[in-house]
Amino acid sequence: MSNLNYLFAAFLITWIVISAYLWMLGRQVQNLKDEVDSLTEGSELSPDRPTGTTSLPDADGHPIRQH
Amino acid sequence: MRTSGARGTQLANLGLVLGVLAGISMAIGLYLGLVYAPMDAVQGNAQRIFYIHVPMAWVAFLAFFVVFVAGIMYLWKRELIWDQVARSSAEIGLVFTTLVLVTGSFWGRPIWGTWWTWDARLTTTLLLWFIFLGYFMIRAYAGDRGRAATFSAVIGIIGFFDVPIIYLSVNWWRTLHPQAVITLSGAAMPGQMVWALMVCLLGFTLLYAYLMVQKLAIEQAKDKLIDYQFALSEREAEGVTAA
Repeated sequence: MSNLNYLFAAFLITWIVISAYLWMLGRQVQNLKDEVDSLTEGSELSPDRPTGTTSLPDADGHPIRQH
Repeated sequence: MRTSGARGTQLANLGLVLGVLAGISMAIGLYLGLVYAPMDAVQGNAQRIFYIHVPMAWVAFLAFFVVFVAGIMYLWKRELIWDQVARSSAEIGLVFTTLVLVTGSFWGRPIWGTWWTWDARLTTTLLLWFIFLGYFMIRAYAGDRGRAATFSAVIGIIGFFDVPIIYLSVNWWRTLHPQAVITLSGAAMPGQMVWALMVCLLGFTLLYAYLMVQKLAIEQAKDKLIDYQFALSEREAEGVTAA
């Protein structure tokens, strides 16, 4: 009794699900970056508006300084 | 004094190190489980599912323990970080519980002759899966962030009590599911199998740590973005009123 097909199926499903989850996390990061970019363009952070500091937070919640 | 940017870089480096270590140890673990460890004389190759099934069950239990601790801390301190930790860990726990149920089915089919049976361990594991599915449904329907955090913390704390029941179910009831093969008194299997299992346990634990670092960073960024959007809309509303 070898049951190799069950072993193969179990491993295949496991790696597909883990890979899909990692891909989903990557998508979430990309969506967050896109959202930050759209907010930056639509707010006082726009390059058309000369500003010093802004209230857009960095990863730790502190304002990002625009140069 | 460390800057916030330095902390972000340190977290990214930690994630990278954990990811690389998880990848290496899982690759070694897979080699040990699939090649080095001997084939079970009775169950054949299906027994090798054990080398991913058991570590994923361990990771799921660990994840829900983190949800339990973070839930208590949130209710006590009312700090958002604990809710972020709890929801990150709950999501990872749910993914791994799903995989435990699926790989268990693929193991059970050739050995028990059925994909599913209402065995005590299987049923209590399915119950755990539903509890944490409910955890995310409550979060989705609660509306307010504070209420969602409070409700889900309570569910996470109560839900965790299913974990020791799952673990002890094979001792409390007569079940099809095998009993623990590694106990304090020793291991009821060859040393090669024990080694393969230990390396796989390490690999999956590192994978959990890596996923936690990634997911926690995402949840923190999401909350900050919500705060910023809220502040921006308030400022715009003030601007309209002033005009």
